[in-house]
Order: sequence, then structure tokens, then C-alpha cells
Amino acid sequence: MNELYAINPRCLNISAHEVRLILRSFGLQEGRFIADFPDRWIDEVLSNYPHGTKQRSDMVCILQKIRDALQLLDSPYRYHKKWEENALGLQDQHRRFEEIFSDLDTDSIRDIRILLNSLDFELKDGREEFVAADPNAYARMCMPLFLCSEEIVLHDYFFSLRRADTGVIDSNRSSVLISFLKAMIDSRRVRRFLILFNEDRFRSAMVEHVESDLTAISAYADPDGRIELLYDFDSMGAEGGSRHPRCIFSVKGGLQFDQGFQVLKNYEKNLIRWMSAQTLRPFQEKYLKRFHEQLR
Amino acid sequence: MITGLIFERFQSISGPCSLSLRDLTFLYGPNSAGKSSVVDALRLFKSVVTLKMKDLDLSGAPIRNGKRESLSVGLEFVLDDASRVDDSDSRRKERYDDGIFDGDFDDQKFFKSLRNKVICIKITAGGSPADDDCLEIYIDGDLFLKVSQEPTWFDPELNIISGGEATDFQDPVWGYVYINKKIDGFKWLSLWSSMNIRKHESDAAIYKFFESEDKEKIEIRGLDFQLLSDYNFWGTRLLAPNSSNGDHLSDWNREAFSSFFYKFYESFSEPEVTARKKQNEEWLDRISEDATQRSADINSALWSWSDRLSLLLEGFLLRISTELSITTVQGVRNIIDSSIPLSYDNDGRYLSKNGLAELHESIPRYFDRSIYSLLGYNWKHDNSSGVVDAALGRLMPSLGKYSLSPLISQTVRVQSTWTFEGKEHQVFTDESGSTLGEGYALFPYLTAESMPNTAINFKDIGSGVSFLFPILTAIDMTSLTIVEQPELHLHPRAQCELGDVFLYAVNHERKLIVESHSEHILLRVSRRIRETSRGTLVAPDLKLNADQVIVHYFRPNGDGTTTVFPIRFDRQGDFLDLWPDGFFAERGSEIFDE
Repeated sequence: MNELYAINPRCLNISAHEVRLILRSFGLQEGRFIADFPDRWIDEVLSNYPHGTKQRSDMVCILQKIRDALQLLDSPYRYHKKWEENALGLQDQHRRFEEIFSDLDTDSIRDIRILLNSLDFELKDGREEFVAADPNAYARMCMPLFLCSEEIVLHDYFFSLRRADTGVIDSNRSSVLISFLKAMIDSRRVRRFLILFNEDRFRSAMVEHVESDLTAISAYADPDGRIELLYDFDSMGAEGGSRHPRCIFSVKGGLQFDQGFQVLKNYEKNLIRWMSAQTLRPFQEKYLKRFHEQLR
Repeated sequence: MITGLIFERFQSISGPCSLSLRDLTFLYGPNSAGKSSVVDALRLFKSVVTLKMKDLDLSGAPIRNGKRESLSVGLEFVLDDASRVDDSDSRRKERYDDGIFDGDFDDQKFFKSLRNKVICIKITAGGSPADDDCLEIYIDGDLFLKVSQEPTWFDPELNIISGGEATDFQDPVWGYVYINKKIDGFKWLSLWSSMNIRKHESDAAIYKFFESEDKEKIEIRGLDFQLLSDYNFWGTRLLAPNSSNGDHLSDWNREAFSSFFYKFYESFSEPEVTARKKQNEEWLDRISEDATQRSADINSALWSWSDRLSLLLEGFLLRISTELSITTVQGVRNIIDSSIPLSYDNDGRYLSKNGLAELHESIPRYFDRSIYSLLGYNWKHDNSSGVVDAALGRLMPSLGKYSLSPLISQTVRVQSTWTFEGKEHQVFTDESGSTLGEGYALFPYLTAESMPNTAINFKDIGSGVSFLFPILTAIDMTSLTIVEQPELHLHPRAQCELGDVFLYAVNHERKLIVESHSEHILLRVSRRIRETSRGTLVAPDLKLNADQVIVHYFRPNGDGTTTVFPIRFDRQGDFLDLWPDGFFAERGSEIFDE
């Protein structure tokens, strides 16, 4: 999950339809990402197509959709060397690429045309993974989402900052929030974080604490106040919360946490998966407007 | 600063629904989705606050389940440091100024106290029956003033305060306005006018107050009032709300209410209203003869107070009027024929003989300024943003570079001379000798950068410039402009450039509401936001922050109603909210058969 692939932009000098087929395997819904390598990778791809051609304009349309699947690297690109040499150099140093694709076929580099024949079968499934149930691992999984989103929603009907039995702060959950906030700050993209609590189940017990608890968490994790931490209540409605997904999402994509946003006991792992567009859309339609309402 | 519209019931929009207005507000959505409702609502407010009741259009009242319901729509605004009273109607402004008290109780103090509060003026009207018609003002969400249709008010023979609908209002309720569609005018009155108090002794609370000589307080509709010994105007003592009444009536209310009346009332005086006022005064004189001094004090104080409320309401309306100096530019346009002059009479009034007025009032206004400039005078209302020059000169190179060259042509005959501010000028007729009206004439030619010495007729160049000209002049001359379908007849590149024109206007203190279907305009806006955020923007007058712009998308529900939802930008020019299917996806669908 969240694997990073290096694709030589110069080898995408094929038809727009073929490029589209390849790039469909990447993105937030697929859990696979492409290194923005060299930076302005999209421009490099476009440079394969002459100005004024229909193919170039088609490519603009395709590449527009892949922007959020690109991840910047902090390593310098050495322009006097070939792209493959740069990629292998990074791979040797950091082992950061799941695969390197170009128009060669060597032990370390695979031919991009393989993807045209077998597509996903050649790539590791990036949609879901059992992840160590600790806050830092959670934040790491969410980082691609934070890197491309300015507003984030956390939606979990059973999420509470205090333990239901004792009423004290639940560190298993608050630590996850702290970790998320720190990752959001690191992303330098996120500005607002909205947490939706369950109105039916927790409101009466939590309402007197939620503001102060969140303020304390924010003060600890984000002392400079870079992230606007918002909260709201939501009703489970007729479903009674039986099919709630426990998700964190933005307009760009979303992740489901099978066991919710908490640290688990006994070294259990939490199944995290990227949400499909169909699963995500109802949540986006219902909840993203809360930002607008709150900001008004 | 106008910040939003609130639709409860208006045309097809299914409310309640809140539309925030930013410096640049886009309205998108399919045809017949109700985008023009925003324009219609603003026009409605404009006609109300400027008291041009002949323009009052209540057709926005929706029909639900076969019944005509009253429309209900609100306009939200914030009074900021830049808020000022509309001075375009000098007669009204003067009247208002006369009513303003000096010193601690002056009007400015009241409005200063409202700074940064969210004020909403809401109109409910047009239903059948019209019993619900009213105008309300909310301050930070609390009802401050409600003026309501009450055709019986001010008639001493009829019951107002006691019983009936007048007692059904929620507190605090200060007065009534009667929107009388038959005579096309507002009439204002005071709720607690003295004759009503005196007349209707059955109103228990007020009656008790009159009868209790030793009490200084009275409760009216759940609020405590007290007779204030330290306020004394024109020999009357003031009955003012007690400051302990809570949220609604704080000190600023109390101070604001303490003034005298009539100026505002007189502003709407029509013969019948004046006659009634006179009747009322006579009646008041009669009853005052047997009134105690105490009740006379209170009568006067209440009378003053209610008038002050009217004055305050006038202040609200004049301020909103300033904000609502709307110009609307529609998508259907004509090409200007430069050989037909704009003509003016000696008072500078535009004479519509060339059809340009049908394009838009902003064009003659724009040329007004040009002729003044040509004659060597400063245009007295010159608050030009320079958007016409900027658009034709550098922002829209795909249209060619032009500059406006208003000419007084030598081909027209001199009919007589005309004196303006002590200088003598020629007066023109056209070549046929027909009268253009006594005054002067102006021919709206262009010059191209490539041919600086040639006067070019608008008809002789690409239609893009001609079609755009009404939009550009409107934006140039008006603080808030609504542009409908500006992309008509424009090449995609020119549409992008038009996006820059809008940003230029925003950077020169203009607000725009743009109804459009153009992807290209939005793409340019998105790009400028991104460039602003990254610090890579080349032209500083094209900068745009994400929170200065918003898109409202109108989605038909299939049952004749429409849902409106906002789509915001982030700092990278991406959208923070979902686009509905079918927009920005069309291109992919067409290319890849998706």
C-alpha cells in the first residue's frame, strides 16, 4: 500500500489511450503513486508531444487527473545523467521505489510496455494493508492524502476522546489525533481538520469536554495553530451506525480504518484501505459542505 | 460589504439556502437551473432599498403545491470602515442627514457600534394573501427590527396595539412598514405612536403605566422600559429600553433610539399620508388637552423613539443602497456603431438616440466620463477602475490592442453654442440635420495600437471587442456587477483572458457575480490562485487568494426545485468541494468515450 513507482516520463511517448491505460493504475483510489522525478514530471511527459497536436491536448486531459498521484522527492536530480541512472542511484541509497519503469528491460528496470499487456497484474495491490496499530503508522498511511488535501474530515461514529466507562481521556484515540495533526503540519498542505462525532451516542457525555479536549490536543500537537481544528456532531440516522465506515477523507480521496482510529492491544493490526470513488462519494457529498457551513 | 444571500422561498431555489458572496462569485449549473435567481433577488433588494417601487418585482414568489407562497429572501452584509451612506440620491441623503443627531447620540455612533456585525435584511412578500409581507433586520442572527404590512396603522379609529395580529409579534418589534403595491410606495409608521397608547387603554401594560404615577418602569412585550431622567430632548423625557434587557437591547440600542422623528417619515409622504399625519396631529392635540403631564411626556418620548427607529432604518437602507449599486450585463448584446453619436442635453443627461442605452446604462455613463475628460473637466464621480483600458490594452491580447478614442466629429454640423461651467462649447446635430437634443455629441471610436491615427468603428473590427464592451464599462463604473454569460462569442483563449480582466477588477475594489458555463474562465482563476499562493504571479494586479472567490453550483432536483451548493478553491487552485458529474469531465468523456 502507498508504494512509490518511478516511471521515466520520456518513455510515455505512446498514444494517449495507452498512457491513460497505464496511469489508471495509479492514484489515491489505487494506493499507488508515481515519483515526481524529475520534478515537473508532467511537463516532461508533455514534452513528448508537439504543441498544437490533438494528442498533446488529450494528454493534458489525462495528466490533469494524475496530479494527485505524484509525490515529490527531496533528492536532487542530476541532469547530466540519464533518468535511469538517477533512479537507480536513489534506489540504491534508499530503496524507495517499488518498481522502476522505463523503455529498457534489465534486472532493475522494467519495460513500461509490460503494463500495457497485463496492467494491474504486474503491480502490487496497493489498495489495502494490515498496518501496525500505532499512531505513527496510521499517519504514514494517510500522508499521501494529506499531501494533496487542504481540508480533511474524520468520520467515525464510535470515535470518542474519553473513555465511556471512566470518562477520562482515552489516550488510545487522542494519540492518533495528535499523530494526524503532526503529519498534517508536515504535509504543509492541510489547513483544516474536521472531526465528526456521533451525536446520538456521545453528544450528551462529550459535549462539555469536547471543546476543551480538542483545544488541549491542538495546543500540544500544533502549538503554532497551523491547522484549524473543527468539530461537529452527526447523527447515525436510520442505519444506526451499523455500516459506518470509519474513514478519513478529503475531496481528493479517502481511507477506511477497519478497527477505527485507535491504538489496538496485543499487537493487533488494523486493516486500512483506500476507498473507491463510489464508496467515497456519498461521504464527500454529505460532509464536505460542513466546512463551508462552519466557516460561515 | 455584501456577504451573502439567504433564500428561504424564492423562485425555484429550495431553501433554506445560504449563498456567500465573495469578491468574485461564480454561478454555474445547467440551463434552467435557477442561476438567474441570484440576479433577480439582488434586483429585488435594489428596488426596495432605493425605494424605486415601480421596479418592485415580486414574481420570485414561488408556487408550491398550486399555491402562490410569499417569497422570502435575505441579504447579508457587514458594515465595515468603508461603509458609507449612498449619496447618489442627494434629496434623500440630505433628508437623512438632517435627521441625524449630533453628539453622543449621533447616527454614526450607532452604525459604528454595528461594525463587523453580520446584518441581514430579509424581505417576505408577494404571497397570497399578503398578510405575511414584512421586512426584517437581524443583527448577528437576532431580530432587531421588524416592519410589517399593517394597512390599518395610523388610523386612530382602528385598533392596533391591543388584540389582533399586532400583539402576535415576537420581541423586539419596533415598527411597521406597509408595502403598498397599489400606490407604489413605502409608508412607515411607529408601533407605539402616542395616539394608540392613549386610545387603546385596554392594552393592559401601557394602561397601567399611565395610571401608576409613582412607577418609572413599564414592561412591554416582555421587555423592561424605564423613563430616563437624564435624557431630555425638546422638553420630553425619553422612555428607553432598560439596558438589562439582555442581548437584544444593549446600550447601543438605547442610545440609538434617543432622537427625534419625522424626517424619515416625511420622505415617503404622499398626499394621503401627509393628510393622515395632519389628522393625527390634530387628534393628538385634542387628546393632549386632558392628558396628564406624565402621559404627555411618555407620548412624546415614544413618538420620538419610534421616529428615530425609522431614521435608523433609513440609514440601513441607504448603506445597503450604496453596496447594491448593481449593474447587470446580459449575454445578449449588440455591436456598437461608432458613427452614431451619443448625445447629451445641456444638463449632461444622456439622450438615447443611438440604441446604446439599450445595451447598458454603463456605456453612456462611461462616455459621460470621457466627454468630461475631453472637455477638460474632472468627472465628478470618477471612481474608475481602469478596467476598459487594461482589458483592451494588455489583458486580452487575443482581441488585439485597442484604446478608446471618444471623438467629437467634425462631420456633424454646429447648430449653436453651449456654455458649460463658464466655457463655450459647440452644440451638434447629425449630418441630416436632425436634432440630437440640445447639448453635445460624442462618437465612440477606437484606435488600434497598430494604427494610432485612425479612428476605428466598432463595427469594423472583430465582434469580440464590441460584445465585451458593455461588460467592461459596467465593471469599470460599478462597485458590484453581475455579468451573465460573458464568454459568449469568445474564443477559448479570450475566455481565459477575460478571467484575468475579472481579477484585475477585483484588485481594483470591484465585486463581480459571474453567471457562466465557461471552463476556461475558471481554469484561469484557478491558475492565478496557484500562482498567487506560490509567489510566481507576474502581474501584481491579477493576484487572487482562494478565499476571495467562490463558485455556487445550481443543481436541478427534477421536481422543479433547485439545490445550490458551494464549491471553494484551495490555495493550489484545486477545488475543495466536489464538482457534480458532467463538468470538467466532458472533455475526458468525449475523448475516451467514457
